[in-house]
Amino acid sequence: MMVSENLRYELTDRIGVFTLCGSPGNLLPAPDFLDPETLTAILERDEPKGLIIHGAGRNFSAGADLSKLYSQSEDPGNLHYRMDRGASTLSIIENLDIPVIAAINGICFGGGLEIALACHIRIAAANALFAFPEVNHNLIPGLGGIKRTDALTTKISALILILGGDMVNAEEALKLGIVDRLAPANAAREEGLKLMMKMTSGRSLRVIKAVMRTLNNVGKLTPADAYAEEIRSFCSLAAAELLRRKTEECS
Amino acid sequence: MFVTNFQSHNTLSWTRSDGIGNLILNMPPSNTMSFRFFNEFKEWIGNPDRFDGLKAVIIHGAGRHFSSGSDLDSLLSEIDRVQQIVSGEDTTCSVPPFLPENYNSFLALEQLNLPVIAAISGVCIGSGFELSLFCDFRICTHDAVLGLPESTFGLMPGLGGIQRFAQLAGKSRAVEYVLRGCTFQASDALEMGLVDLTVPRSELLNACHDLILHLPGVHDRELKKLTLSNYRRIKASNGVITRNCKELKTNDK
Repeated sequence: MMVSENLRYELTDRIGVFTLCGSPGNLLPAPDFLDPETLTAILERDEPKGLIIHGAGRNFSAGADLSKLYSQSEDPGNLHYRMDRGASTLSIIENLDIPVIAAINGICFGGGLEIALACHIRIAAANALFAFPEVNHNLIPGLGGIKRTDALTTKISALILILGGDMVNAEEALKLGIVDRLAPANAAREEGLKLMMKMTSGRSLRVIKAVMRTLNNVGKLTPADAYAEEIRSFCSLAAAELLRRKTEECS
Repeated sequence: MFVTNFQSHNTLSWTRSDGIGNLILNMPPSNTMSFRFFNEFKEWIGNPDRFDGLKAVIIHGAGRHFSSGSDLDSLLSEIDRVQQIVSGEDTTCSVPPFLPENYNSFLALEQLNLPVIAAISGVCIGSGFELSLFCDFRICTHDAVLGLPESTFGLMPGLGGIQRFAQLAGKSRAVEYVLRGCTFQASDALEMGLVDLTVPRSELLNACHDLILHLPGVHDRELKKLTLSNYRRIKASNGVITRNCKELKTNDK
């Protein structure tokens, strides 16, 4: 299903796959590449066990389509509104109670990198390249990418990436901590799917959501509140497991 | 050497020698954590006099393994016995008091005003691994196997281990390993920051004693009077080792 000219969505084996597409660099025509309402509606309809975000062809995404960004800037109110919507989509993704993997082949720049950083796990092909070129256009990453980069790597590395606009390859990105796993050249998609199956197949949606909610609470709730949530989740899983065992005994 | 024998303690053995307390999880071969273990652990950690004059505590397993974690079947049947399970679209049960009690015992260990080292050999999974995550340091043998397999049998780790895993190894690794529920080797645990040191099996306890010798402030006779925050500050100011290795890494940045 086409979400827009630049985004495709399909559900396979209970895994939702978003494909950035539409041009060789999978340029993002607007900050709200996927609007929050569409994402929420898809999740409610399909109840996927996980999401994968990747790019069609050789690249993940080269980031914003600057000509379109500048034309949107003619109305600052409109640009602000669309940036806010893009940021809230990424914040929804970051806090989803199912795992989200960014599978990154080739170029992953600017807004593309911001999308990847909002995912829970980033798998990069050996030939992937990462950069925040915003500074070269007198801009900054505007969808939460600065904060997320800072959380994953050291302040110095974050400065070099964001203020220096330096490009790093997959291995360097792994060392910096902005990438979690490496895959062979051009194989991020396959490796991402493999890892997703290891995490989700045989697991009930209930288990997946309980684990993810607990993880999403880390650093957001006080440890005491996070534990209170955790133990409630644990008990609801225990109750479900007990029921399952009893049903099995009866049949 | 001063040995305390608790007749009441069947699943634990506690000895003190040269200012170091040794807690052995004593239910070999797998040191599975039964209800009795959790009760005895609660009694052990709940008595502050026990730690008077000590400079560190080492926790390890009797025999080849650290611990294979909770006895799942008895855990589930106890929940079944004491709780009313409401089935339906959203199956739930209220929280039986023994679960937060077990967590509070682990928390008391984490907040103990002494460095606590988990000396991990062999299997260290589930609640056994969670217990080690509440220690200040984890030293493990090269052949140790660690993991949180709960999700593979329809559950999740429920003693605060997920939070600590994420704090030490980062959210991405936690998402991957808690959902997969797979075990991993000592070298992977070291690489992820989940353990602080790996050593040959024959050197495990020596390495723990060596770490204690090098802990900042261990020669301070006033150590036992220090508050936790003082203790953390002293350790941090020495810059050698902080309360846990994640803090050390953060400070390095």
